[in-house]
Amino acid sequence: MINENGGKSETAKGSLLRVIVLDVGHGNCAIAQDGEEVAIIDAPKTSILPLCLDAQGNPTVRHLILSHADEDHIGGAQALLAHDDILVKELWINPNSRQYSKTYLDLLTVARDRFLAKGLEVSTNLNIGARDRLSFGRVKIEILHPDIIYAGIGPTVSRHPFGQITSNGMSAVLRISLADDAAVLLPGDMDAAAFGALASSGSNLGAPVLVFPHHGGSAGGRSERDFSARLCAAVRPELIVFSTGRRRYANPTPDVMAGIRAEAPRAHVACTQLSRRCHDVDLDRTLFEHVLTDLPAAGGPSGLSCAGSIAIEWDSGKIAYRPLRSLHQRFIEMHVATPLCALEPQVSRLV
Amino acid sequence: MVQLIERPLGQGDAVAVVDDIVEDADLTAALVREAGFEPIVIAPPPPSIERLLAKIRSDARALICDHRLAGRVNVSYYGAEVVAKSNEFKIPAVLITTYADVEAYSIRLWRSRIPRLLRRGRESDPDTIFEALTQADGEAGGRYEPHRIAYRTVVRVESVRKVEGTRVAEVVVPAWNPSEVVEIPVALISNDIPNSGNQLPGTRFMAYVNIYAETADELYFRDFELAPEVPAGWPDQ
Repeated sequence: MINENGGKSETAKGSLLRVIVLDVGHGNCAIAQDGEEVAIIDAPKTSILPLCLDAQGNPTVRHLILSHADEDHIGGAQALLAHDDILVKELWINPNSRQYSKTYLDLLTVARDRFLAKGLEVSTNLNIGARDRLSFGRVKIEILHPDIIYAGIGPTVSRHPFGQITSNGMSAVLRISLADDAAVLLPGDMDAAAFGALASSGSNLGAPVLVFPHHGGSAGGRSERDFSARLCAAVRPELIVFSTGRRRYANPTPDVMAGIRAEAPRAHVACTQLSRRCHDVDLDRTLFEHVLTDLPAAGGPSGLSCAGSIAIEWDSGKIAYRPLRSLHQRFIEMHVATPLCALEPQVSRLV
Repeated sequence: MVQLIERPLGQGDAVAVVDDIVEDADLTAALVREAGFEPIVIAPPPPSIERLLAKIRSDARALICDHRLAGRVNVSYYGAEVVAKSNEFKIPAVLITTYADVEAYSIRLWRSRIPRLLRRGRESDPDTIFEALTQADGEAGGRYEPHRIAYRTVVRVESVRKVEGTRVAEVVVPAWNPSEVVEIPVALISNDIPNSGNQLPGTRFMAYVNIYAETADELYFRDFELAPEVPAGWPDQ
């Protein structure tokens, strides 16, 4: 059972043990931190990430882990690697012959430049074969997917004997534990086929916090509802986070939410930014700067955030998170017309 | 020996105002005075940039300079060069122009040492002038705002074209914005890497760029090097 944590962690900065899911708009970015060291999982283009690191005194980045090569997961990696104030020790990325974008080649070029300058280690085996090489301090990062066989083959085209393995299908799935307590499942853009492969592997997906894959958009399977229900049954989350952008896409989809409510009816659902499905008109940003925590959030200054950035913290043997569910709930009740995350179906309560 | 004590630029300090058009210089001078400084008008500028810089150094504590200086008089230099060299001498300087867009290439050549580019009219009120000169003064003291700090990153050339006699490279700086093309004069690259001009499209360079710039016209580029080459494909047997 996880606790809510209303205020800042009382743990001294030097020993902060937590995972931050940053509000970056559409995209994914998480920071796993143990005191002066962090691992960054996915780096979309955002000024929020360097801002957040700067606020922490620019801790050493032990690992920069890119789940897969989509723009909304790697677009800010180059800026991070360019930064003089931020020491990135090791970059993790999987080979992807289907991703022949110029941006991806640009990133590989930067990685090679930094490697030749002897400053950066580069690992292209982000699969279960890396065992516990991502773990550091009291942060344990397990790679649950891709498996060695799939990783060895990589993404494929449809005429391949394996059938089509998409870039999303090869997205790394990570489970993070803090001081041996399971904390967060980060499935990147895992699709329905990848989940099928993962589920049949017998891996333990259990975590109190699930960052829902692909921002709550299509998982490419037969039924979004079925996918999200089966995922929730496997993870058993108490907090489900959607890392979404109000300006791009209208995630999560109602089918995804229906699956969640079927399998995790009481779970706290928190989108980083306010979905257009929940409130189609922009909130008047002159009324308030909506931020529920002290963490930087891309949607904070512009009034686009819903829950904003979220911190999952380990303190005195307990996993807790903020913002408080009650605080988030109050914001929704006051400002959001048709919240998809409501526990009961409802009509608009706002004028 | 008298030791000079460095102090921040402040109210009443002499600010040189350089323009080829006397009326424009007077207008800028009035705004500079309203910003709290003492304007020293140099209009029109002398034919030699060295003479102009010497006069600025002897008479003024800071500089605001028009970009197109060859409109009414016979000078062979642009204001961007004057501002850049003035900042090198630690005399805080900013550029003012009506031609920011059409003169983008001649400005970009010197942009790394131009802390602020003021568009005449909409960005030339006294408060903005004060702010801009204060920012330039900060850079003279080694204090750069985040959007003015350059980082080593990839610059990819998409294509090259000629614009009114100037060879212009259309480049992408993925760390700044992977989906926006920025135009820079080819000379910026070829000054660092001679003979690089012939096969630019598709080439990747490592260069220092202020990747936190908010707009394309704030971007500056320096210290180009060829990036490690990306193979075009798997070698033939």
